[in-house]
This record gives sequence, structure tokens and C-alpha cells, in this order.
Amino acid sequence: MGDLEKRIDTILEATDNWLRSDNHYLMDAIDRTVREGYFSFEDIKYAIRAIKESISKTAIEEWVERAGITDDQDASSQNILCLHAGNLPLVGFQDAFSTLLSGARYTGKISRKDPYLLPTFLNEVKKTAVWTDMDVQWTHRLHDFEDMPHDAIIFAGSESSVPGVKDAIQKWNLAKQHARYLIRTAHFSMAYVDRKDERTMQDLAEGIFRYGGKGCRSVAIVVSPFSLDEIKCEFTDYIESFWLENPQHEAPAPKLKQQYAYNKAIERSQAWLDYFLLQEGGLELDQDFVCYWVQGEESTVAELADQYSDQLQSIYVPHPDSEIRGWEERTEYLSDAQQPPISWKPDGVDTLEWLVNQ
Amino acid sequence: MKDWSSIIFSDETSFEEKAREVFEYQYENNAVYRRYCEALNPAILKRVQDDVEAIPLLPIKAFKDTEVTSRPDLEPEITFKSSGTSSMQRSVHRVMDSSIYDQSILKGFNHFYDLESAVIWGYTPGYADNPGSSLIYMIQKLIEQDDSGLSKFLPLDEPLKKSEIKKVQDSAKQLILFGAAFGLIDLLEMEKTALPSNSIVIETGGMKTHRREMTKKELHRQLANGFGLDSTRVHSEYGMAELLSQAYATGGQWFRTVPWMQVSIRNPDNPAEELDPYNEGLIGVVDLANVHSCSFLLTGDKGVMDKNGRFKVLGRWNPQDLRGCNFLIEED
Repeated sequence: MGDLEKRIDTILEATDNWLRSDNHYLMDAIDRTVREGYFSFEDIKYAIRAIKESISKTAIEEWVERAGITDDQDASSQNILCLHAGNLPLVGFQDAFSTLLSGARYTGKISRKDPYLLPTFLNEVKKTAVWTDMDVQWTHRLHDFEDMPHDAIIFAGSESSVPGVKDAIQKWNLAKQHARYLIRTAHFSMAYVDRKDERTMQDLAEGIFRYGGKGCRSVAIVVSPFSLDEIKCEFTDYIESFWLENPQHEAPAPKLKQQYAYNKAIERSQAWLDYFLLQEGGLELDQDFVCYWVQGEESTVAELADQYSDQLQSIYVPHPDSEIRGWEERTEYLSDAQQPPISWKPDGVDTLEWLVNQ
Repeated sequence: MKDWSSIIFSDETSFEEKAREVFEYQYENNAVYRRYCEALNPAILKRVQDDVEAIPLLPIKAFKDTEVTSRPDLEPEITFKSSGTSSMQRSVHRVMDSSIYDQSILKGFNHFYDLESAVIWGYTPGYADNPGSSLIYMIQKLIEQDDSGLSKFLPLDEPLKKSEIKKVQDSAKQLILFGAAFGLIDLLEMEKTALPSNSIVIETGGMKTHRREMTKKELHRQLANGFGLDSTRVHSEYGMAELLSQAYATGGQWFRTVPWMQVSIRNPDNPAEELDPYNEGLIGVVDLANVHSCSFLLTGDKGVMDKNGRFKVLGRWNPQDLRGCNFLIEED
């Protein structure tokens, strides 16, 4: 058995063990995460289920093949530093998983906003014969890794946060001289919805409201031939059903109410949902808990995608007949918005391929 | 109709009383503001009677998105537009009673300077070239007050003339030069010119440029050097198309307001909350001269206040809570 095959089998085994219903470490981590108010139980359960459903031997083998990994070409000589964000439960899972799969050594800075969940997976990995304590290291404090320069660094940031992160990396000597950076800047996704059937409405509610809309895969702009006024009564029923099963974990700041009042003032169509605001137009994308509704066609989606290309993660469509010209690579099904395949490409970059092809 | 000028500029009435009166007038007559207030709190009138600080601040972007007026029955005497390219959505401020703006300009300027003994130069386009600019209107108004003939708009793209400077010096008046931040730097790039030592240079903002980036401190240092002045002679003006009053920083970076204008720093997550001194937040403005549009505004500018009610402008507010993954050193 080659190294790659062994790695695949071992990481699958570690993942299986991690996801076993009698894994008390994971159960404790979930319990503590909920108790300390980081995320809701429903969102954690959903995130774990999405990971479970995305991982299979076939899915991993196909990904590995597409990324061009072989026994001769992998990242085994590399030390990779992953700076994990904590906006969603286990949001850093794919980076950790792909780093390990690539053969590289993994160093993780675990988010203080999601401190317990990912380490339970990493502990399972360390129990295997393939990865040792040296290969898998993590901490909650970046400076614990002082003077451990890495070959590559992965993190998500914004225009304003990237310089501060790079300064910290330099300050603690965490990057080799010619270290490579994979910095993701996409912040939101967009959906095109041209039908009002039950499945589409449910998928749209999931796409917008799951995780309080805080993921970069969450839908922040909906383009639809229907106006918000035409659809909002019907859609509100689906939103209520969604929240009945998935109560929103975090209450928005009072400024959301201010935005609602502002929309009233200028007579902009909107749907005030107490924890969330749907509004027609006025795209500012400067705060959480707001989803913008734009009346338009597929061409409108393409125009908006061009306009927000730096910030846009994915475009979702409800069925294969929809085509967003020029954005085919970033187009996915709406039903996959919150449960992407393990090999999905944040910011259009295949992490595994990036790790291996230096 | 009320004589609003006598109320707004009165020294007899407290700011709070005047603000309450203007609020009630605007709540009654400004449909946009009324809808805003009612959506926030249907009992807002009563609330403001008890606590004038509860007056809601309307986001200033309303001037871009809709018509903000307390006199929908009138046609505007003048209309100001914010600067920007033709493709940008610009703020539109319809001024129903230009005499209030005129008084605000003159009384405001005299609050900080002595207009009678000043010669005003504007290194900006002239009023005829840009009638929609509230800044240029203001400079024009100040120029008009000087009957010596020395006050004027300067030709753009020409260095200052020493002979003109000499004339001002001979008049024994104080030269006050207005210009946009980088306009003045451009002027100095053509030729550094020493101004009389009692002159004042007032930069009016406009730090946003694609050509270069500079801190306010560095800008003032370069202007002081270029004009051969002490750094305390480089002042700043804070104004915008949506406001009919100005604040001035007369040496240093702290702005003071005129008596009919008040500034507060608001919590960006909860604009109803005023922040304590030295905490950064959104700049909120109460400008009573805006009586016929809206006096209670929340700007998109970041600022900070000191214990004496002076404020500093720190640029545009850059929201930190962009949705999606964003690794922040302090939080993650």
C-alpha cells in the first residue's frame, strides 16, 4: 500500500471514529460549545452532519486525483499553518482535512470563537499510526508557535484584517522567507430563485438563515423575477418553519432595527423578521443579518457577480436550467449551499491542489 | 410660519430647548424622518419630551436615497449635491431657505475668525463652475463680504502670485486660504510660496484620492512647510453637502462646532447610544441650521471625542463585521 492510499484510509478511519455516536470527546465538545454560547446545538449538529455526508472513500479519491496528488507528488515536505476562523462551527475542518490529506505537517491556530470542536477531530487523527504529535499541532494562541516558520499559510480575511494578520505572522516568525499565502476574501454568496415551489423555498431559507447567515456560503443576495413583496408572505412561512426547528442563536445588534426603520423611512420594501431583515435593493453588505432581494433575471446575477467579484463566494441556482453566464465555475445548486462537498473550492481555489502544486 | 433664524441662532435659548423645538417641527413635517422615528419607537414624541438625547439620528445616506425635506410644499432656493463622479449616487440637499445657510456661514465663520479683517482666497473651482457645491457657495459668501476686492477664487493650475500676496499684506488684513486637501498640495507642487506669517490655511477635507495616501498630520506638516507657516496656522473645516453648519479645527486635529451644532460619537452597533470620550464610533451631528431638511443625522464618518466636546475625524467607518470567514488576530 502506498503512502497516499494509507493516508486516505487512515484519515477516513479517523473521521469515522471521530463521528461515532459513542465518541464522548466530541459529545463533550458539543455540549461545552453550546453551554458556553458559541453556537446552537442545531447548527453544530447540522455542520457535523454536512461533514459526515460529504466524506466517503470515493469522494476523497476523486478529489485526490483531481488535485494531482500521488505518492511522488504531495506536500509531505511542507509545514502548513492554518489560521482558522470561528464564524461557523467547524469552519476550519476542510483546511485541516486537506492539509493532512496532502501529506503536509499541520499547525493550527484554533479560533477562540470555536475552541472545542476541531481539536476533537485532530485528536482522533493523532491516535493513528500515520500522524504523530510532531505532524499535528494546534493551539489557541498564535504566539505559542513563535519561531516555527512555515512553508505556507492559509487563512480567510478582509481588506482591513489581512495586514494585521501578516504583521502578527512576521512578529512571531511564523513564515519562511518565501512562504506562500492562501488568503480567502469572499464573504457572501448569491442565489437566483425563479420558482416558488416548496423545495426551492426550503433550500432558500436554509441558504439564508443557517448559522444566522454568517457563513461565506450563506446567501446574502437573492435575485429573482419575483419582487420581495410578491413572495414575502409565502416565504415567511418557510422561514418560520426553519426557525421553529433551528432557533436563531445570536440576536442581532440594535442597528438592525435602525436599518428596518431606515427602510421604512425611505419606503423601501422589506420583511422584518425580528432576527433578520430582508430588504429590496440598497445593497450595502456592511452588516450581518441582512439579506438583499433584487428583482431581476440571470443576467442580473452575472452583473452583480461582476460588481462584487472580490467578495463573492458562490452563486446558487435551484435547477440545472439556470445558467449564469461567465460564472459557471462558481455556480452550484441551492440545495448544496450549506452542505458543500468536501472538495469544494473556497474562493475558487482547490485547497488540496494549492497545497501540492507549489 | 416661525422665524426659525431667530430661534436657531438665539443666545437666549438653550441648545436642548431649540433641538426639541426643531425635532417636533421636523417630526410633524418631514415624512421621511417621521417614518424613521415611528419605526424605531412609536412613542418617540413623548420620549423626547422627557429626554432630548433620545432624538433619533437619521442615517445621512437618506439624502442619497430620497428627498429629505420638512417643507414639501416649497421649491428649493438652492440645491447642493455631494461631490462624486457622474456614475455615483450623490446626496442631494434641497435648501428651502438660503438665508439660514447664509447666516450659518457668516455667524459660524465669525465664531472662529474675524471675517471683517480677513481676505478670503478660495483655491477651488469658482461658484459659477460648481453651483451645486455647498463648500464653494460658502467660500463665495465669505468672499462677497469683503469689499476691498482682494478676496477671490484663485485660478486653478497657477501658482500663487507674490504680487497678490503683497497686496494683502499691504492691506493689513489677514489672509485666509481655503482649499481641498490635495488641491492645496497640488498648488504647492507647482511652487512653494510663503504666505504672511499671520495667514491661515483651511483645508476642507477631500483626503480621498487615487493618486496618493497621506495622514492628516503629514498633510498639515506639508502644508505648513510649503506655505512657510507655523503648523498652528493650518486649520481644517468639517462640512458636507448634507449640513448647513461647519466645524473647524483651529490648530491640531480636534474640531469644535458652532453653538447651533452639536456632535456626538455613537456606538455603530447601537446608534442610539452615545459613546464615552476617546471611544471610536460613528459621528452623529445635530445641525439646527438644517431646520427645513433634517437636523438629526448619523454620518458614515468614524470619529472620537475628547472630554471637552471636541471631536476628531478618523475617516470613513469601515465595518468590521463583514459576514463570512474573517480571521481577526484579536478575536480568533
